[in-house]
Amino acid sequence: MSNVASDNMHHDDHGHHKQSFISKYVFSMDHKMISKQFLITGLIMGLIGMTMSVLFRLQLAWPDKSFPIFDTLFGKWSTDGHINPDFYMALVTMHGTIMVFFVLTAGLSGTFSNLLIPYQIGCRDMASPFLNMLSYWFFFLSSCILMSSLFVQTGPASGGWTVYPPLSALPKAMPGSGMGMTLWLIAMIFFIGSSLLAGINYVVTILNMRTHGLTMTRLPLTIWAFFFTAVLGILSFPVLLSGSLLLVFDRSFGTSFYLSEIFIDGHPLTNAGGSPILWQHLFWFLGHPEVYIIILPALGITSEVVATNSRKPIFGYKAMVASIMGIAGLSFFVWGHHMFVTGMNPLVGSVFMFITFLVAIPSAVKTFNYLATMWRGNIKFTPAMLFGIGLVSLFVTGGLTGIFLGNAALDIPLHDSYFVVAHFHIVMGSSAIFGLLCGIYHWFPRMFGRMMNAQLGYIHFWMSLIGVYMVFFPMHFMGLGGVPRRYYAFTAWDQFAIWNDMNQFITIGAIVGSTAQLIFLYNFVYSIFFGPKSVQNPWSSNTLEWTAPQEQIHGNWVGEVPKVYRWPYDYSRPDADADFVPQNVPDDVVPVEWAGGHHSLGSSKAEKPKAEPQQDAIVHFSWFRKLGVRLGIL
Amino acid sequence: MLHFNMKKVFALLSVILVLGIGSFAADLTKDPGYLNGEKLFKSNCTTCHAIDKKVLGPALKGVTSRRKEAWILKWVKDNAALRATNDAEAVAIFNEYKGVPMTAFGNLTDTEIKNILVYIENAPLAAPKPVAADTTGDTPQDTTSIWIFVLLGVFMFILLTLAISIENKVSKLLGKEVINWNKINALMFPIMLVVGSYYVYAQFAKYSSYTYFAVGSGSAHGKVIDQMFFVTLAITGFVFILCQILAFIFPYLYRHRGEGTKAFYYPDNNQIEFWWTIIPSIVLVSLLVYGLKTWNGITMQDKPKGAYEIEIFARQFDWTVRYPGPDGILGKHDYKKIGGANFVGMDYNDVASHDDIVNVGELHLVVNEPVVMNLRAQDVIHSAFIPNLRVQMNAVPGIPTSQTFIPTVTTKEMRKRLLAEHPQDSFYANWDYMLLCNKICGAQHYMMKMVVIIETKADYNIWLRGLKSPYQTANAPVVAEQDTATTKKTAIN
Repeated sequence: MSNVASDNMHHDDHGHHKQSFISKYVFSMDHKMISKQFLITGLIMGLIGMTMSVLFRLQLAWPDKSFPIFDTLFGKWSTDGHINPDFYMALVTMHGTIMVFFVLTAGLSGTFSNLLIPYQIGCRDMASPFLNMLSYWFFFLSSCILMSSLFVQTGPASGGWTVYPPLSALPKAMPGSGMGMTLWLIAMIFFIGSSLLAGINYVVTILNMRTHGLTMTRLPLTIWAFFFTAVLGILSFPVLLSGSLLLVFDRSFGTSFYLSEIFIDGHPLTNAGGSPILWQHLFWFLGHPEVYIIILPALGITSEVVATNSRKPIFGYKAMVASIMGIAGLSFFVWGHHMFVTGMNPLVGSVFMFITFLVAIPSAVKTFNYLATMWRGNIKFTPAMLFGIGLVSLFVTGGLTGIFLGNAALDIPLHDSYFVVAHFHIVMGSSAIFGLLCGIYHWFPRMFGRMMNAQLGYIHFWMSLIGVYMVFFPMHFMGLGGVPRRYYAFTAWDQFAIWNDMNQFITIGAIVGSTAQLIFLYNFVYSIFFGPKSVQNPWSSNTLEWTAPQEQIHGNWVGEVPKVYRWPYDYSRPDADADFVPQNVPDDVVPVEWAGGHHSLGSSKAEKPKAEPQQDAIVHFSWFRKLGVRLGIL
Repeated sequence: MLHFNMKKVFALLSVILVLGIGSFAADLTKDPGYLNGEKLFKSNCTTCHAIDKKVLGPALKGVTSRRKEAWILKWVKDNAALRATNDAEAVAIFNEYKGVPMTAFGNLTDTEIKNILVYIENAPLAAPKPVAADTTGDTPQDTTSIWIFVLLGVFMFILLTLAISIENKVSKLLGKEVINWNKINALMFPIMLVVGSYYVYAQFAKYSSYTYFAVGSGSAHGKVIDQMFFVTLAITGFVFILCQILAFIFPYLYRHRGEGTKAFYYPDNNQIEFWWTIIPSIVLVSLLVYGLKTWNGITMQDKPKGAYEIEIFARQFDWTVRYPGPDGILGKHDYKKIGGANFVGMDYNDVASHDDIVNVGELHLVVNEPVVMNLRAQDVIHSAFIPNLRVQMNAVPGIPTSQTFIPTVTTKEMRKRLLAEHPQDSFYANWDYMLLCNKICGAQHYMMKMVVIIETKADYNIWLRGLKSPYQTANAPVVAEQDTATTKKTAIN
């Protein structure tokens, strides 16, 4: 591929030292700086979202106890140390909005797409650095608007993060549907602007600006994931934009897109002919691809990290790409599975159910491929690798419950119960957070030139894994006990009293998990300033970002951009001395294809190279006999 | 690896210590003035005032920020005198409390009043009446213990980072790792697998009997759903166990064991890929076919013979049920007609609505008779969810929805089943089916419920006879005999 921008950009890197503070750190057009801006804004939003969840979990677990901290924090939204019910709803809504859009969409995709797309495809910056900058500042503005809604008199939006009208359309229906909802919609419109600007940029950059030799089939899986994420965003976010505008019209200009035959506050409204279900269709037309916008980058990051740290090629590269494609394509036709009990035509429900089940197939393939990648690997447990393995575990757990919920018949009793809360928090909430953390630990040296402390990372991981399973695993049982989500308290429900203990247990789990994130934040901030300097390629990785000089310069590489000769997963090649062959190693040093060939089980076995003395069957299957001995060594 | 400057760390430690001690020293509740104020407040003021809520007089918390201290002193000693000076605030309060004056406390000294103010502004707030039995919460000690806990956590964290930095330094000095972290992490995986397995088992053992699947469904279609559930659970359970074991054992088995080792270069195997694509596909398609059959069986059926209709009317934040009356037809409705006794908006131009019976907060169903549950909402989307009947359908303003089902287990039978499952728990002797709102509908969403009673036809008829139609109540005040005659007919034949 010819690198059109490389020549244009080349002269820029001589001038990078002239940049003023403002153009370097604030209105930066450098993809590396923008990625840091996305990351830090995302982490701050994440901290806020997490804190909210702990606070409302406290209220939920101990409705009879008074927590003076609520009065301190929330003022009039709290009475005698109890969060008021309407503000509880606001917290739940804001938690969902922040986490889904601001942390896991912008924070995850924004950070790593920006950092890795130019680096890994070997170009000097995004196709349009200006749009890229604009994308961050739209996002920043959107974050500020959303946060400002916490301070308006009627409180922030509180109809759930899906903001279903008429509840969200009628200020008389609840206080949060007043000014707070207006601000929510404006924030969302800016957010969508940001996503679109970013997405178009990513797609154009990946398609046009790959370095010499980097064919699409040699792209790292991270880039494939970012590519399809961007495509999903470009195709689905505009639908939410129009949906949001229609909601603005209904709220402010008296139209009836979503409103019909409503009697509220003692008076009938004149709106007729609209449909509240229309919003749900428009919302979930984004909303379902959105969960893949969240999880695909996390899966891409994990593919890269698991392969690197297993010191093995990712198993089934083509199948992995096909799975991403399959998931992305199918994700557009499954949105109706959020609406099985809205009263829509059962036949339509059947179609959505059919396609939903199909999504499980590529997801299963991906899981098996991760496991196969670890099989007979040489696994180095960096904190990033731990989070990668954690993601696989969570993806399995959460994915399997999707088979219950995708089944329209089973969805009747499970819909909107805690079973759903457990499902999506595990499969696209925690998994994606694990993917985000995995990426931060892995690329921190690339972003900041320093290393994070590994031991704190281990503690962070194990506490997080325990926390996540403490919080979300029990929720399955609550859901199967008929406990509905978005309830402020169960004090009026004798039949749910049995779940009180569990609610408290879950809240303790939430505190454990959140404390772990504070350890991470400390590690993150400390390491930015005081972490030990990293070497150029700390994880012995193959991809191009590790060939760039340690000092971050505008334009990424001094002199020519690297050329690519091979795919990114040549780890532990039997015919190479080192256990990794970076993509820019020419084919006369190490051949592009291993002579051992790709790769039936039989032939691989026959040509098993000498350099794996411990990797024969006897060692593998006698581990239990030697366990005691090993424990002794420790 | 962290490189702590030891001096910095100790400086930080001492700062935290000082801050910690400082915060304890600032605890006013040990202050003699505060204690004196507490005594005086309790003996003089509590007849009419509370700190955090209005009693006869206003809540006093924050009074020092609302009024100037000098003004408060004057007011407490003799408020009538203050009013006489035409003090605007004093007059306003007098008017607000409808001319009921506050007792004058000329006996209190300035210091004593100030002590009371210190107490008022710093006193712990009383706990609201707990709904459950637990009253041990909400004491000032609680807050202190939380802070102690937080401080302990911070100390532990500092110790931990110190330990890590020492380990890192020693490792650097020796030129090799003191602790083999790779091995420890690798070993953590099988340990977590064992711990996790026990955790999953314990959860199942403790809670599975409380899920609604344990006692079976109270409706005909629910039994099919339950069967579907258990089949899905068996399949996903198997995959769950298999994948988790692999995900937690592989890291241990294939950990890095020292320099010079290489992984097995194995990038692809089309055969394996083929099989693990095709096998999940077959399993999923089977589940899908089974699921579609179940779904269509539940939703695509024609209205069963002999089915009777009811209408669930939802509004913020209660449920109302409309029964069709003797004619068996639910009359037309019009949301513009909502008002007064006709709060479900029946259109009385349609005579079919004249005998319709309306009842708030309780839904009665006849066992073994198919019922068409129509849903309507007045303001926002609600959702009628009866977990034990496996029934759920949204109520959408402007769009009528419905679900048809056959209740098969009466409330009494279900209680027996539940008691058999949990003999030690007397709650189930008075257990009821519940219809709950399952679509967020406002701040009181969590209180929006309705008891569902499934009973024999005889019991149902007796109950229905006791109800009157709003139209007849409003428009035809009839003599007692006629009234009985009408309502007798409302029973289902």
